[in-house]
Amino acid sequence: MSGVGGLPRRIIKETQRLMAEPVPGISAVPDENNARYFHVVVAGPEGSPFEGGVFKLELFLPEEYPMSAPKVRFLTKIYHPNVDKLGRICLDILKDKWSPALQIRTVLLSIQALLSAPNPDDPLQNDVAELWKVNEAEALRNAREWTRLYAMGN
Amino acid sequence: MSTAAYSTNVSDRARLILQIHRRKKKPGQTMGDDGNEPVIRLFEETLRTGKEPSTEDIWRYAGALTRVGRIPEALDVFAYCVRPRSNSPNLTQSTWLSELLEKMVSCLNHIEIGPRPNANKESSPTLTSEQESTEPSGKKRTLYQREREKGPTGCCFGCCGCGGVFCYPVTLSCGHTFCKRCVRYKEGLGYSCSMCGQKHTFSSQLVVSVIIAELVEKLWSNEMEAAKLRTEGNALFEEGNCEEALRKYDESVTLGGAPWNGCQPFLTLSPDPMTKGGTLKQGTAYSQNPHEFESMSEDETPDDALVYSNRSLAYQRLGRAEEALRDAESAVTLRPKWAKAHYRRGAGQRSLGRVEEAFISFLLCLCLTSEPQASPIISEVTKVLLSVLKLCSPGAGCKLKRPQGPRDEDSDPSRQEDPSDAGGSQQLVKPNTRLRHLWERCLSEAKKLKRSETVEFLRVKNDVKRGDFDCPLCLRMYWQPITTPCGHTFCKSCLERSLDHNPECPLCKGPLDLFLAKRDWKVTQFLEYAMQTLLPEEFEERMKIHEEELRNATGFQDMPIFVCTVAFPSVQCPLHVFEPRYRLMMRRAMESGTRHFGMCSPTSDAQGFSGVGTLLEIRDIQYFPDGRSVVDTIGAKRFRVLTRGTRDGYNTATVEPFMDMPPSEDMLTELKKKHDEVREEAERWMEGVARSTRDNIHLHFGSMPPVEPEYWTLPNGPAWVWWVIAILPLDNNAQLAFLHMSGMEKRLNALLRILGYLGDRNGNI
Ligand SMILES: [Zn+2]
Ligand SMILES: [Zn+2]
Ligand SMILES: [Zn+2]
Ligand SMILES: [Zn+2]
Repeated sequence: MSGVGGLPRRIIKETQRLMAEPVPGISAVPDENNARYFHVVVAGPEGSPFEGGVFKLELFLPEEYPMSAPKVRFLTKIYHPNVDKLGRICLDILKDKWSPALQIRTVLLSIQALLSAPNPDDPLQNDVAELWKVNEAEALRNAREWTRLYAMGN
Repeated sequence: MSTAAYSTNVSDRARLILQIHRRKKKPGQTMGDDGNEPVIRLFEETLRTGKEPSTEDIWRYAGALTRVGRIPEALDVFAYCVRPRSNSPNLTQSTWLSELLEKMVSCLNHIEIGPRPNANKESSPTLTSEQESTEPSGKKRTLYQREREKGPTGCCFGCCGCGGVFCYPVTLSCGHTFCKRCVRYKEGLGYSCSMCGQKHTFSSQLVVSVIIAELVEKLWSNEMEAAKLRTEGNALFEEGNCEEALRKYDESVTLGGAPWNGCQPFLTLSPDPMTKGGTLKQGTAYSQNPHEFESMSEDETPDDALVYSNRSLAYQRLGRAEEALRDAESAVTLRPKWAKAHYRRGAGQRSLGRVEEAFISFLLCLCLTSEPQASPIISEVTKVLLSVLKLCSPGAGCKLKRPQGPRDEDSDPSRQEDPSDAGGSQQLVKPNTRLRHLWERCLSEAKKLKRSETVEFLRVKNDVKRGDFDCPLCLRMYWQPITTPCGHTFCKSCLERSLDHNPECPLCKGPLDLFLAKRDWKVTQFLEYAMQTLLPEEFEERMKIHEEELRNATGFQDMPIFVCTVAFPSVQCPLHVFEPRYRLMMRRAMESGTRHFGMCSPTSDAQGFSGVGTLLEIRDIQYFPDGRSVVDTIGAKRFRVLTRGTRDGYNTATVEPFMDMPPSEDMLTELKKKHDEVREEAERWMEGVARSTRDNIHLHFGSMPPVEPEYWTLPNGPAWVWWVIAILPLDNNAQLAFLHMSGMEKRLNALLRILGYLGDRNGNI
């Protein structure tokens, strides 16, 4: 039931706007076969340990969207206290703070912001968060290393 | 009535008759107050007998004429009463005059207007409002009522309180929008709407409506500035600084850009037929606070009519009557149905000694004023009426005429008779042509007023884009915009869906549990009106989309399926609806008017729900404050699922009707026999059931349905069979098996087997 014919107008509108006015540093393209599935690429923000990296994510709009939040996951490995090994993201607006007034665009912007400002006090990946708190320099080094290893030259 | 009765004091009798009727009815309330006809006859008889009537009798005679609606004659007689060298009216006599005034007002308010000359249906957008006022139902509206209900939504671009440009717009729970300071507040009662009277129940605070504030700023920044200047003017005026106030008003008028200064008012007192362009937008003016005519009301935000009205008052105070009148006339032109403007005009005319014109203005002001607010003005206008009567009264030497011959009782006297009636057999007082002419003018002015329309001063200069009215949830133009107590606006259906999941505002996360519990949300009229007027095509298109969506979401083609239990034809099935997706489903079923959905039972296979189900019809929905509900349904026809789908989280299916194969003729006798046997068995079984259980069954399913006359022809067979299946302690699969059976005989056999089995068990226990 996710053919374009049955697609809510809101999703069509959002997709059109994402194409027409893309968020700087982010690209989100719907899948050819599934208009609810987006291929997302986020550039590591300047001044962050992820700078220079290109991070792939997947974004899926569930049947109940926008009443329930989109499901977003990092596909590229990333060393981040709020992203776990499976790429799942700890972000309040993707969970209990979700509001139907938020959009794909706002979600992606929030993820970009999370890369700029990791939040080790609300961790998903405990060992990473621990290191981030105890030895931030080393954590940043790790993050840069992972970025180089997994998010560059693809 | 015999003539012998006249031997007693006529005056006393008249008084008696009137007193009786007065007790029954309030003065001025009815047209044909039957107590007055005898008074009139008695008076005329008295004159015929040659006796000189007392002054009191003449006053009472005039009053009686008033009450029966013979206003022109009443005017004649009243003018006679106040002729030079007569005593000035005492308290009772003044009451007669007030009553005359009320009668005149009521007469003007109920005036009929014919279609406007040279207006045809195609070219006159104003015709609808005229048709409204002469609706065939005979339910005539007064000018005042019509004004309040006018417009497609009863609302124009201005504040529902002051009619001016919004200053901190606030939308109340009733959907009306006011300037924050124009919202009525009463100690202990809180905020309420002065337009419809409804209480503002959602919140004890007033929060500015974000989207309306943005629109107002975008569209009417000039007017907002002009309003500010006017408010400053008001403050100066209150301080007694009229000169400075005038300067501010002048600035405000210039800024407001109103092209009306000095233009030809279209509601003049000249006898020329009214000319007015038909292209001006239809708008509404509200006669607010007319009891505060002598002071600047603090509750008002300005618009240009207001500034003219206020400047008029300032001129009046400075003794510049000519200018005061000119501004008042501008205000009348801009808002012809605004009582205060007429009042100001009346004041100006009175100052210039134009008493008759002043009286007409005051009378129109009264016509536009609601009952309770009118009373303080009535006494003042009564004084003006008295001056008019004195001005027009016949000379001191005027004498009453003797009527010639007895009156013909059967022929009704002509009520609005020709003043030039030469014979004058019914006229005791010579027709007062000047007064009658004045009354004619009152009538024609009221007609003009009824036809007139408010000039919408809030004209839209900037381009309005459809994006200005986008709902933050569906990203489309609003459909049925609802404004929350936190000042955010969403489509009704978008907001409802969001509240299904979470009782808070999608934008600011403010709590909306009270709002949700109320469930009585009204469309924000300003927004609806603005969309309808400014973007008519888009509005139309949006309406079509909404209707289409509703059709698609509820149709038989793609029927919503509630996956929960096995429901049977003709058997009631109460449901507790708490899941957001089913809240949405129920709402759509209600909103679209289909009031039905499919019920299938869940299955463990990949299909998810049974291949046969029952259509449930909604009989009633009771809501809990948190949005959950109990839905009372009853089974209708059965259906078979052809294809499965989903929409917005719930299941859907294309279905086809599923029904019993009709029994063949030769099997019919056998079938009927079987039917009777099983029915008997079922009744016996019911008797064997413990009393408490039986009561419980009756409570939930009602009593066993009687046998229908030709039950074998019904698509689902007799209803009682389904009823028994529903009450029997069967598991899901067994119930579903019954639903799948497409023959009555098969169903009866299966039922008999189960009854036998259960009966044995009953017997054993
Ligand atoms: Zn206002
Ligand atoms: Zn209201
Ligand atoms: Zn919407
Ligand atoms: Zn809000």
